[in-house]
Amino acid sequence: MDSKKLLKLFLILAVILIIAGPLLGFFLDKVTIESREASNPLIIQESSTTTIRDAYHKDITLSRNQMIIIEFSVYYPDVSADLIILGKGTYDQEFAADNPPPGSGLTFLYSEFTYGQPATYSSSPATVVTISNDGYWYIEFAGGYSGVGGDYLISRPGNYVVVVYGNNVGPGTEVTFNLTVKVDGPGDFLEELFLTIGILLLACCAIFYAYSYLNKLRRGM
Amino acid sequence: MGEKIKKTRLFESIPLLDKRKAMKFIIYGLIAAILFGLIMMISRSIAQNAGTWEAIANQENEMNYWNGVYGYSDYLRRQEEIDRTRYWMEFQDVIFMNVARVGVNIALVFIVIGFLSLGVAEDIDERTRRIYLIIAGLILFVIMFTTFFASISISVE
Repeated sequence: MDSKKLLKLFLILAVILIIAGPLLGFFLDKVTIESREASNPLIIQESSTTTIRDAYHKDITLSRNQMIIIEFSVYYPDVSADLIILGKGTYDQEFAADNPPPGSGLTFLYSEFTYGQPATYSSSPATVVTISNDGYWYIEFAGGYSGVGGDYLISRPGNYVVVVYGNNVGPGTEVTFNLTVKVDGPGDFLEELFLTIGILLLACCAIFYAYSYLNKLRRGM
Repeated sequence: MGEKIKKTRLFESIPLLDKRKAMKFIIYGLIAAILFGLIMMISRSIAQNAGTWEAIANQENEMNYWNGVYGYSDYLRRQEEIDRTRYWMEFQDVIFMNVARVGVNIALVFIVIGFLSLGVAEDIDERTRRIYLIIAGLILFVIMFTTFFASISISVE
């Protein structure tokens, strides 16, 4: 392959990488690991308040700087549901002892999107969220929490369990709720990698072109 | 060995360029100088407008948060990324300005050689050759001053 074709190939590759980087970043930013919307809600029994074994649980593994996003909502009559996040060890201990779910778990942050208000004011920490009949929570969790100078999540890699339990205050026993769990995907990493390689390739092309140009100039003499 | 001979020939032939080669030197030098100058201006413009870009990016970040596209922690994460990009937008100026400065100076050397060669060409009339020599002198003056004195620079607005 002659140098001109190689240069063209590198140039095209660089452009493709530079375009693909942000696209991958956008599409792989979050990976959905559980999606139970209104069309396909989750149903548990109200016995989940007396034994953690009947509660809904979702195991999650977090790595360094990874965060999970939970969208928890209820739009059903007579339902009261609670969501907590426990460390895997605590969950297993409660499960083995067949205890009722603890009233609170690890601290997470929930956001209330208040248009026009600074973001700092519309986010709060909590260890449990409860919904009766109607409600929606947007939750972020990374393992730990710091309240110094604001609300910040601390990245603590490890295994965690999202637990949902509740009761039905009506004649039924079913507790229906919607839950979406997303985890940070490889989007950010891939975006940076593709952009870096793309820009490096472009720089190489520029240097190569300048070199060929100088050579051409010398030959012209 | 062959490379050494080639280099010697290049330097020996520089003051004795014929009209066609001298014009080639001037045109190529001009193109290179314009290209590097363009890089300089684009780079400076990006650096100078980094603050405006940051304001837009922050506003977009806030609006995305209000629209529920992402939560508070993602909002903070993006804020940090915006800061990092802004610093890079400012710092790239240092890299590109230095590269472009070297490029412009090399291109100007080519132009000087071109004009000097035209200035000593025997097949051009005396007055025109004098003008070529004056132009070469002026460009040399600019190169020397912009290279050796950092406080003197030429800016194109």
